[in-house]
Amino acid sequence: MSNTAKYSLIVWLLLMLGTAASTWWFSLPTMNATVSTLAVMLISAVKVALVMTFFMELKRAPLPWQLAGLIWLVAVSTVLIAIYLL
Amino acid sequence: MSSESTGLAESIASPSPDRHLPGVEGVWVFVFADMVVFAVMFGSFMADRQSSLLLYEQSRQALNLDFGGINTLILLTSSLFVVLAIDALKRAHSTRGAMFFALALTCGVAFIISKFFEYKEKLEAGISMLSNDFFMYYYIMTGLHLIHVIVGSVVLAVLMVKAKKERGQADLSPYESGATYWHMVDLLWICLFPLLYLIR
Repeated sequence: MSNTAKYSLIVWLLLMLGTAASTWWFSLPTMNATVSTLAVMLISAVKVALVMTFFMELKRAPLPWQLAGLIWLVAVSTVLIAIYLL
Repeated sequence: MSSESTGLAESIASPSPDRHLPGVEGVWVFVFADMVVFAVMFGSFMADRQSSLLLYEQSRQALNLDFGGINTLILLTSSLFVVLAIDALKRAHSTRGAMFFALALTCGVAFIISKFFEYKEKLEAGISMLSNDFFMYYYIMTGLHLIHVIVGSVVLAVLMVKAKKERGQADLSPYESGATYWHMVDLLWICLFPLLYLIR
């Protein structure tokens, strides 16, 4: 198995775990709504960063494209979390 | 200007030769433009949600969380298969590449079928785009995303057939462009799913 395949499998496992935790653990009615929503949003931001970095291979892309990805992720996450907390 | 910022300016002006943008640059421009359009919809949804919290929360509870969660797992798995397909093609294993594209395509089709059943369940319960603002966003955003999945599945099918015909080292550009598009479809769903199904 190549290194790319190994790293991709690890990233995929993290993505699956993040999804399972968001969907079936943080959504439990016993969890505090604000805490669980913020946790879900942060997990989603990390998942997007993983997909961009490892699956879309932005880690090897020229700097302007890396910045574009980073700006999109930070802008979207910040705006959504800020609106939610307002 | 400090030496650090000079270095940043130089790396932007003349990127290092070992840095490589996968696929065609035009596809990346399209992908980022698409991501900006969806980002505006996400922001609009969140802003409207704040003005009718109770309605949005009641409507969210009508959604089937398992459908959303399983669809996310399906798309993430399809993205993994696409990465493995590109990796196989880089190693001139075109048959293996075609097989991974076929598996990714299977996941894409599974997502489409799952979405069909989810829409059917909602429509049979009398929930349509006209029911309220939440469901207007729900149908528009998931519908637009579904169109992206359908287009992406066609792209994956084309790449699978193309990979089957490859002999020796393939030109990776079309494969990487298709892969970039498919990962964007996955990425958008990662944002869309918690917005509609999970935020309380």
